[in-house]
Amino acid sequence: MARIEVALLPLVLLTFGLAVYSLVRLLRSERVAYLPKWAWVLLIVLVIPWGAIAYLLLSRPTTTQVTRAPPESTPRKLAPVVVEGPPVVTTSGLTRDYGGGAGLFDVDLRVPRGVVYGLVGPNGAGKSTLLSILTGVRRADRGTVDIAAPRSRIAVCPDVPEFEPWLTAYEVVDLARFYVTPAQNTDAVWRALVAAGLADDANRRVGEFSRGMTQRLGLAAALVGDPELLVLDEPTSALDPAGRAEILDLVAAMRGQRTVIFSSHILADVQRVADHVGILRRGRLLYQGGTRALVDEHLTPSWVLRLGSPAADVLAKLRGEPWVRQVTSLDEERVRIDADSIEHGERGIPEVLASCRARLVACEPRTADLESAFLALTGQEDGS
Amino acid sequence: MNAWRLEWLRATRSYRGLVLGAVYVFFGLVGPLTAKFMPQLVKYATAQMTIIAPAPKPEHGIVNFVSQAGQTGLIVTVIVVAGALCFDARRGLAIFYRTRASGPFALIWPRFAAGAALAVAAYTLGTAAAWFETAVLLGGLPVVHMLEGLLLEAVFLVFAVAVVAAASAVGRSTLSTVGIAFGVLFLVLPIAGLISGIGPWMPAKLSNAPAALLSGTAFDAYLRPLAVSAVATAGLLAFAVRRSRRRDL
Repeated sequence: MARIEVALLPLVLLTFGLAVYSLVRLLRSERVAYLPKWAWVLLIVLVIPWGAIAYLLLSRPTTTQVTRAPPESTPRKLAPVVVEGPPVVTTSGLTRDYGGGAGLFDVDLRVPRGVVYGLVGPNGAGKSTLLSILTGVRRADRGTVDIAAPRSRIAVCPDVPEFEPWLTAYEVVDLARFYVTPAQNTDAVWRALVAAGLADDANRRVGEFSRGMTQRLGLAAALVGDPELLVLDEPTSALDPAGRAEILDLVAAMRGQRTVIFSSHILADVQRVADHVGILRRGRLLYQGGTRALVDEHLTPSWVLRLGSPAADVLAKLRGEPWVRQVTSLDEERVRIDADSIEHGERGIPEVLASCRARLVACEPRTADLESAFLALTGQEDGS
Repeated sequence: MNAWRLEWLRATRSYRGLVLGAVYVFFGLVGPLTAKFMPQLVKYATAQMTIIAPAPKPEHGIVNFVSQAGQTGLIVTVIVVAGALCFDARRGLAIFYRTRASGPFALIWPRFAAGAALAVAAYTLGTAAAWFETAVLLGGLPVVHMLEGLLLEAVFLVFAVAVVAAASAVGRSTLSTVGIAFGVLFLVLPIAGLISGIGPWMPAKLSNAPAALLSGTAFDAYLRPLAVSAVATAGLLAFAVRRSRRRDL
């Protein structure tokens, strides 16, 4: 009888140990996958040991934090790179045809070194396809891609970054460091986490992260290798306004230090940080060049002036200016001016007001933004 | 952090190691018990007729373990390993790995090696448990045959993990990978094993080796499937790397 007890003891220990361990994990977890907690409890208790095994394999509980004190670290300033020379990215006749008119057709992209390049276009325009081909995760049917940066200095952050949920944020960025720059020490990991605003959450597991935090983590994992070329696909799509502003400031600060290509459907974001822009529509590159030049080329910039004195003198003076295309009196105090360029309007309007000694209450620029330029450009395309 | 530590954390933090070890140890403990009490179980189960079960011998403990763990253990192994090898299943995760690693081999090799090591370690634990239970309940087992059986089963498990690696390069999702691997391991190989001429060469022959060796089968009978398994494992890995390299995200 004693032999049977000796034989049964390990089995009892294993099965009940598994069940108890699973129940403790379950009760300590904030949420579990697939089933409510009470259902998991029933499964674990009634179907020993398979309920416990199913729970451990499938449930992905989220509570545990890895405790590790972050070392003291100060953000390091990026080494500036030269904003001259040949483009970092050049494509020629890049085509990927999915059939039915979808895909990318004859795209000749030129991204100058050191700029923030905004890639804009409606859904299905081919932005993600273009970025996927540039980063090597998708192949083109024809055309060439020439990237003047070593592969290890190109970093990518997709629109929906995903990571192993059981890793901490620190470990994710450290893993990225291992793959990209194994020679670097772990200070680079902390610098990237600090830059992305995740230093306080470094020891939290990624499975607990919100979408916005995951997006920041994607950025940190991209920055850890100090990339020459940073490709960001919709980097602000999941962020709240404050988070968006922080990321956009971060991207804007990279200008001149690394080349950033970022796609977005939020044109205000692109206008805010991108000095170069490419507009894709139905797989074709309609425009690329300076953001400011795009706005200037495709818009009639206009302003509405609210005056504190009669507008008659100002109206007469404006009509005599060569850069003014049209002046309209909206009412006794308000005047709308259409100029031939933003620069002429911004310089000319104050001069005219000063020469007339008019009292200016307000001067509002109207429709001189990327969205209007985009609509004007794509409208032309539709009309043609 | 490096690729091996990543696999260690995957095994420990996602409970994959615990689950796989528990499954094999469970069958290792249950197999000899059912062999020991089979006559009593049969007696209680059938009141209308009398079935005389043979008196249990030590090798019956291992035979029970191999037959039970060979099915369920392999199913759990495939599921656990597929979870790691299907790094293309989620696009965001695939982009993270593929745009950073030097190539598919750098991603597949650590996952394959760690998965195979995990499966072999779990099976070894299960064998140890079965050996202990058998020794306590039924009597001692020949050490040489036990170690030979362990070696042959380990080779089969490594081959099975390579099948999962190849399946993950064909089916993108974990579900399709598991389906393809099940199809190969539980349908194609057993059916091929029935064909005279090629049956003795099939790697599936190894899965029953630990029990068969104790029943008197010579180790030499497994040299051919051993060689085929080794070559097929290398071939399947090469196929997985090659196909993964050509895959678009």
